[in-house]
Amino acid sequence: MRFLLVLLVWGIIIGGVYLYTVKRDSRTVAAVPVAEAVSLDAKHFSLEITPTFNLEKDPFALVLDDQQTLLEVRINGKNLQVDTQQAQAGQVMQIEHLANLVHGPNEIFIQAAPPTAASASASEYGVRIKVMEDSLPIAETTLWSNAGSLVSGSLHFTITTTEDTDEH
Amino acid sequence: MFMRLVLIALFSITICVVSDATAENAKKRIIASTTQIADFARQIAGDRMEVRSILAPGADPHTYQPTPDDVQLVLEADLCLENGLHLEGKNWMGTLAKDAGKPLVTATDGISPLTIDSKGEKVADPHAWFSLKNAAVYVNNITRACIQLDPAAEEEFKARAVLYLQQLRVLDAWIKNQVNRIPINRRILVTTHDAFNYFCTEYKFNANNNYLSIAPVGWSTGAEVGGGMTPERRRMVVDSISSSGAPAIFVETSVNPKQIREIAKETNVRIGGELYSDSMGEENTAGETYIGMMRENVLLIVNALQ
Repeated sequence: MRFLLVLLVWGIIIGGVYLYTVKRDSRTVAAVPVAEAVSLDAKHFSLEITPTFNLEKDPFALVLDDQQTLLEVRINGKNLQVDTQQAQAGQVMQIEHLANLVHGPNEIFIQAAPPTAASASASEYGVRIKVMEDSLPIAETTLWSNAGSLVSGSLHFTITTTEDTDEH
Repeated sequence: MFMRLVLIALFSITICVVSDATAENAKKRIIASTTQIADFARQIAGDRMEVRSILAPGADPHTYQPTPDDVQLVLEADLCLENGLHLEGKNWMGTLAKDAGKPLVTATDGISPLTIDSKGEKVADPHAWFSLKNAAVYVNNITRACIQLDPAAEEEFKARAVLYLQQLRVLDAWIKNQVNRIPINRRILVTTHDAFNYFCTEYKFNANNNYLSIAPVGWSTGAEVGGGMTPERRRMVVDSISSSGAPAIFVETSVNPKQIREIAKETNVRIGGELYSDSMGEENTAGETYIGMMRENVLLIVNALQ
């Protein structure tokens, strides 16, 4: 009887310490509900990207698999593969049928590396980005860099439905 | 009965605490040959790994003799990092790692080294970190090595590496901007030993010497081919200073300044200051990091030459 009692108390203590350490180590932030990608099939969204410089390999890039991304585009946190083979200064790159857009607030992140060779003289480089709904621009901005930094930034915009518009 | 329960509880808690402390002590350990490589590794590994350098600030990697403490340090390592290209005289880091049976990564792998012609012999210049683009190659190689050592922390290492590479990118542009203040005809860099070839090539110093270092002592301060001081080199330096009108010449933190001080006296030019070269600065100095070392060097050079 005494042995079982000792075993029980021992189990409670060990269990308590175990639960404490597990709880302590798994302090995670409660997941914030994320807007589901809603089908926007009825609408056609496209993206126009216009760099003021030629996209070249960046000597300061992290290249772990011999594949260097010259232009990084993320739509609501998800990478978008962009064909940069024809990318040249002043030339518009058109990306059709944007995926991962949602009703409500959206974010497009862009990062590109301007040339490093002429950093001392040509100190400013930019990338113009424009989101089109059918043929109308719904959001646009120009991201700038200077003093050797990357051109990097986000464009925020909201996609409203007819219902959203009716409510106002 | 009560005492027994208390003892059991104390025993259990001790086990939990000890296991926690063991996990903390189980940090992987990286041993780098030089202070620069240790700094790169720290920027990538953060607090997840322990990074130590064999060379102390101000020590000369060309002539360094490993001590029994270094042997012990490498024996406790999970990964060893070296510069390579014969910076570590007589391959002392490679020997330490091999004797201890530890993996060794050469941080300059993938770099196209500058070759110096020394009496008909081609010698690869090991001071590759003086080009910021080469520093980015070091960071890439070390990031790969860290990921291989601790794959669970891959995203963490990549995130730190990307941030650090951006800092190097900005530093590169800043150096170009600063150096641009020195008139091209005054952009003459004379240093104690031949460590600044990559710097001169990248930032356009010493046009009359094919954008390479001007120094009385060769690429190594030791006795390797093309290293050490020769009367010919000394004469070349004196002639260069006299013909170019260099306003100042520089000593280095890791090399005996005797020669350069004598040359300064002989040619009647002033000493522009002390540059960090083969080693970074002491703890709590501006040169204790790679970025700090490069920044301070550039400020010193620009202030003395412009």
